[in-house]
Amino acid sequence: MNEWVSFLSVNALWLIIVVPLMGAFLAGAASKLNKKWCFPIALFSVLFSFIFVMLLAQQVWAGGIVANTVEHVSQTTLTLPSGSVLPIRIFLLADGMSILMAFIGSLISVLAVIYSFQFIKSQETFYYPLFLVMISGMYGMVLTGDLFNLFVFLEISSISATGLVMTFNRKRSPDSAFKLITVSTIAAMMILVAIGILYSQYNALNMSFLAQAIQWTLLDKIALCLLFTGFAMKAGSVPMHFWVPDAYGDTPASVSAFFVVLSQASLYALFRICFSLFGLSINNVTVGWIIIILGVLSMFIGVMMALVQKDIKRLMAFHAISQTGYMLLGVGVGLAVLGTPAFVEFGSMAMQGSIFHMLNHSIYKGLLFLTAGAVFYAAGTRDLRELRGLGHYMPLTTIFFMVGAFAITGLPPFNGFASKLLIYESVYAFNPVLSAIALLVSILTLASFMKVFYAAFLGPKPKKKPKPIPHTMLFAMLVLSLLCVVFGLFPGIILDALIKPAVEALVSAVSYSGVFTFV
Amino acid sequence: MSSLFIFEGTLWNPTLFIALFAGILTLLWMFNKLWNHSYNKGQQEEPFISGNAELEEMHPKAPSIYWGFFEAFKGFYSKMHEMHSNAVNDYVFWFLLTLVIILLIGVII
Repeated sequence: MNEWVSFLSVNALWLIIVVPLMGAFLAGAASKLNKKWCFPIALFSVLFSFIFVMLLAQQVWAGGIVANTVEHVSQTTLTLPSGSVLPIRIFLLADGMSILMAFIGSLISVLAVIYSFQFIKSQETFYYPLFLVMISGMYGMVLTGDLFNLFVFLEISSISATGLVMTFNRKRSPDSAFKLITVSTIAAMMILVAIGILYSQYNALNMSFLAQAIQWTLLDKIALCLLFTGFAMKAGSVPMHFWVPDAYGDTPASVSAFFVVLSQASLYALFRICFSLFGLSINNVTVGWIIIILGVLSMFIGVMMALVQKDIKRLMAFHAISQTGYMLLGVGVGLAVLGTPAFVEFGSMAMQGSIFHMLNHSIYKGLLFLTAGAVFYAAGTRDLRELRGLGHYMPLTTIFFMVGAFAITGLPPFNGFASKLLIYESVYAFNPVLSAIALLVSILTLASFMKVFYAAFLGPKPKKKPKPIPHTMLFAMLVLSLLCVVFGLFPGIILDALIKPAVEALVSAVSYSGVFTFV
Repeated sequence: MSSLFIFEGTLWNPTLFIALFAGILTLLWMFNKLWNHSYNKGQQEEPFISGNAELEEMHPKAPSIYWGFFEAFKGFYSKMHEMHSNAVNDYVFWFLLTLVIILLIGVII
């Protein structure tokens, strides 16, 4: 038994990615026999991945960075016609930051699959395999230590996400899916060009090796700009956010909840590029201010556009953009003061607030998307002009929605309060105007969610009695609601256990660049 | 700079918050006990609108509730709607524009 646990622990790094990928193929094959098998296969895949993430987390917390290769360099090589021999390998790496992202992904994926059981009543044969491939792509993005693999996993997640957008809502989906794949492909091409630029100069794709080798030449600057813009677009930053409401709005709620994680995986890649790959070699102040400006634009335009939406899911999608702005703002402040005494004074706290907000955002935004799905399931519409009085028949969903709404607006004692307060405090020390904008955006967020609450849950009873919400959907929403409360009540524990190691891993470029050895 | 609330547990104390919440719930429960429960359920708990039945039209639609705000920001919203044109060409345009600006800043600095 112990030998098995030990074996799984050692191999957890690649099993996290492989298990959902194999689950996807298995679910696809099993669906030919009986489509009812898709759900249990998907559930076991995400549960096993969750267990492997926990096993890996133990190793990371105990020993810092864990690195592994799927194939040893000396065993697998590619001989070119010119006679050159190239090693083929998939280099994986987990530190405090990547394990936090993997934890977020595993948590939301398990709950999204449970929610899907009674929510997805058609197209299961497409849904579960595509969902599992997307999960696998997300894990790959956050656990890879190789730039080209990062690109490959980004493409895997983008293509499967497009498939999921395409599969449902036949009326609008093809249009939304086309937009998603177009902008994703253009961004991915920019990222590929940047990777090519770096490879042509340093003959390497390993990120920890590149972190040591980068000289900050003109070509490096161009590569950074291409990588930065590509990942900022995939993260849904304004003014490259236009695909977000289309993609989030036209997929099932469970997929939208995971799209939040997927956008954050791109945000993770953006931060990884800025801190770990380029680190102190870049002009921190300029890059930090670019991130801050994108953050402020995302916060403000996201919330202002959310206020005018009539579709509950599009409204929430705009809020996802707005909340991404908070994360960009905090990390931008951290980067702008990196390497100065101000970083110790407030920069580190700004980054902790932002990274904590990534975790909190996945939880409460996931919850809000699931409640939007429950509203659609019960009432058959997402149009706020047609919804009313659902609170009479759906008390639990109403409570879950309120918890999510309070959390996103940053009301105590919910989790959004803890991370937002850290951001307000630290950003105030950097520039009070930015902190005031962040506060204003929170007030507008509250106004927006009051509108949804008023439209969907208050008012006279609806003409048609809504369908009862299945238990699996309620269970997923309950777990996320509890997490909103627990993370809000005990933020210190979460900060010490998850967030501080993540921030240390991100800002400690030396420890990252020193990992060019294979375990 | 040390945080105001999380690290030192001065202003933010979960135990205190839970105790406060429990206290408020207890007060609500006590008030509930004091209420007169002899009213006609399903009738007296309905909103009273001068004796008229509550109509659907009396529930203003969601887009109307911030009408004044949207009116004040009409200019801003007209620009925003222009930006959010729903055309993929525009999506790509904004992406490329951002890329060019960032490239210019990056190369100059």
